[in-house]
Amino acid sequence: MQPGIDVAGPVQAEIFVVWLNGERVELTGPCGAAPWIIELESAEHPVASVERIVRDVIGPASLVHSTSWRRDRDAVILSFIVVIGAELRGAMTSAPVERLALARSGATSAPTSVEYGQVLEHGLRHLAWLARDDAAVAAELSPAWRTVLAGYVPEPFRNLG
Amino acid sequence: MGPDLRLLRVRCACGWETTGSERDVLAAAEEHGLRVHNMRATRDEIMATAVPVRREQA
Repeated sequence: MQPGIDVAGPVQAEIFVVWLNGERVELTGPCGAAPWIIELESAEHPVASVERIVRDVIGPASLVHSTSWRRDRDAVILSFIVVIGAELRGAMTSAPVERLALARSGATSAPTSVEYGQVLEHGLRHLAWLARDDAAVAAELSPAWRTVLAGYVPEPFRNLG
Repeated sequence: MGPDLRLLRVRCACGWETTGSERDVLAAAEEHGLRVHNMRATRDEIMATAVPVRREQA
C-alpha cells in the first residue's frame, strides 16, 4: 500500500484524545482510536497549537496537558493527553484503553522501544498525579474521572526515550 | 481496461483517504493536512503519494 502523506516536522505532538464512557476510559480522535499526530511550529506554543487544533477539529477540550516526550519518527515527540466530554465523541471511532506496563529507561539510557499504549498508560498516570497535585486540573475532572484515575499509579512528567 | 489516469487516490498515514481528479485530491489533501495535522503539504509531496485508480474502484 502507498504510504501516503505524513507529518514530518522536527517537533511533533502526539495527541491522545480520551473520554469517559461510563466508568471506562476510551481513546478516540479524528484518526480513530490511535495517536493523533500534528506538526508543531516554533511560532506557536505547543499547548496552544494542540488546544487550537483540537477545538477546530473536535470541539473545546476539558483538559490539554503534555505528559511526556521522547525521540521517535525522526523527531522530538511531545505527548499530550486531551480530555473531552462524551458529547464530543460523535462519530469518531473509539476503543477502551487497556492497562499496560510502562516502558522503563535505563539509569542513563532511553528505553529500547516504546509502544504508544505505554505512552498513553504513562499519560493517564500523569493525569492521576495532576488530579491530586494540580487544583486547575482537579477542578476540570468529574468525580467519575477522579474515581477512574485513582486506579492509576500517579507519576510526574517523564522522558520516555 | 487500464487505470484511468484522471482519477487519483491520496492517503494520509492516519488512515484518511480521498479519491478524485488531481485538482480535487490536491485540495482535499491540503485541507486535511492543514486542518487535522497542522501540516503544509506541498503539491509535489501530495502528488508523490498519489496513485491512479480504476473508476470502478473509486
